Amino acid sequence: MYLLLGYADDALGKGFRRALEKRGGQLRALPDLFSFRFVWRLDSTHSSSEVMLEDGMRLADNDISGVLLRQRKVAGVRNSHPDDYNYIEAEMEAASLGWIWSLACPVINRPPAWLWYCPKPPVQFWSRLLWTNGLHECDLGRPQGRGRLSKENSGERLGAGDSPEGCHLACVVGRVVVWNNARPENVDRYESALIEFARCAGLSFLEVAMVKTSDGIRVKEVDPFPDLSRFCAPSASTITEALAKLFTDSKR
Amino acid sequence: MILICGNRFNPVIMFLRARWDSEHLAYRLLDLGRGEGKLVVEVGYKEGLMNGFVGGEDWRLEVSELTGVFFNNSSRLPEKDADTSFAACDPEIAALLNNLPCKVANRPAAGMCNRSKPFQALQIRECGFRIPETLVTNDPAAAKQFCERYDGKVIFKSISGVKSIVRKPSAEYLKRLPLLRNGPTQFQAFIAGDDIRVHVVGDQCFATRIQCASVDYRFAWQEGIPLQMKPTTLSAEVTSKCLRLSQKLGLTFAGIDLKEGPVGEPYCLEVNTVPGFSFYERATRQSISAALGEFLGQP
Repeated sequence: MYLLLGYADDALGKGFRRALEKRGGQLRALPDLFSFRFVWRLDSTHSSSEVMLEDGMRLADNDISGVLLRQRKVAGVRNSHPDDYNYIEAEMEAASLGWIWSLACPVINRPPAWLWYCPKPPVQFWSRLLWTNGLHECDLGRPQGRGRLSKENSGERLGAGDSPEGCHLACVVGRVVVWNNARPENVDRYESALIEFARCAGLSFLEVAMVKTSDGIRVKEVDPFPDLSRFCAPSASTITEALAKLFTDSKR
Repeated sequence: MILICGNRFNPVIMFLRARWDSEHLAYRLLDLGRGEGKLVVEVGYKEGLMNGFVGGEDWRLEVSELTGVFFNNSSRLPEKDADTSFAACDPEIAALLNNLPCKVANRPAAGMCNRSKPFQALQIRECGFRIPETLVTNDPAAAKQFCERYDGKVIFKSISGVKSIVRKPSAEYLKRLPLLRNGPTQFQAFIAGDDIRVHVVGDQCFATRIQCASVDYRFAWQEGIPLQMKPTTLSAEVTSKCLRLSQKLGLTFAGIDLKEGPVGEPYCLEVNTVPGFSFYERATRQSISAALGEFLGQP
């Protein structure tokens, strides 16, 4: 049984389900862990957990073959006093992160703590890692005032459907790079660099926006929680197929 | 030159500055307090090396001049007026601190590991430490069973980085267990024994033994319970584990909480990524701030 934890009703969620089921995999989508009965026991040598689902199914961690993790979002803070909401949300997020890291099965992506709590960091966060792997981020210009970036350089995301001249979207899925629409010319070097960058970051699945500048091709965005909303249908399909293959080919 | 990055009214920063001033240690303060004037951060990369500068209203430091950064900017959850155990700052400052080539105590990214105690516990046990038997649950029946299994010798605390007082569940608390369905809580088997706080500075360890009858010695003063603190020594093996753990978590400065059980090696409860070391240094005169200055001051 594979698990999708988070939002499942978008291009990624639906495409992944189709691709996985084509490969004989069974997928269960849960919005979060705490809409259900959740028990996790941990000591110096063991870890075991179970989630009791609404249909009575008991999902032990050993029953899970792999997890596709969507962006951190706690769906089920209920019945709490408004003063307690933020605290309970923090508790749920912390428990979820710990549980994800306790699983022996493949988790894509299994984020380090900083990425779990800052899921869409500005591209500067990746500077050193990009440079180490022969990639360059966009020049973000001179900061203003307290060191805040001006709005045009703040790393605002390209909108769905935007296709400024010279901008290329790509997804890294394991050792594969899938470009949106047609594969651009002369990108071999960038593909191997992106794959290495993802590997160094500990990520198996990420979305990258790259732009042509006067200084060459630069990375404008890095998204470790892709949703494929900006990809055309054929590219999105290729990505979800590659993602499903990554899961089914992985060994525990 | 050392850079201190944080709010100038932060008690730990005030303590550190006082210590370093008395030793005539050179540093600059990048004050992250609101309304405290202009901060300038302008950095870039050339041929793989970071360049640029940081500065305040009337000073500026080139990145190449920095030997080390001390970062402490603990945040608060406003509606609960609760302290957190992690540092927070603007994304741009965080990106700077995460990428600086010099030593940083601690990079914001590394500091985030304390926002999830069970996440940290998994890293702790990978370094060979024992951890207490732990239950994370939103199920009242499982919590009740856990408490009964340990004959009530159980504590509960926050799972996240929001600071909580570690407590034993009272009879009144156990009546409220059904409220667990609103959100999970962490329960642990209570370990009786001395607390040992280990401050790791680079490759040095400063161990402090705390003897106190309270469940959470940090709040013993609220109960009027006395507290004794004194320097102590660690075995070579425990020292090695502490250094390995700090390194694994990406921390150059850590406050590791150990608990001496009745037999065998100590348990490791938590790693503080923004250690309130001044509390310990005041009580024991251990030279943690001097060690920090030496560590961050060397290129």
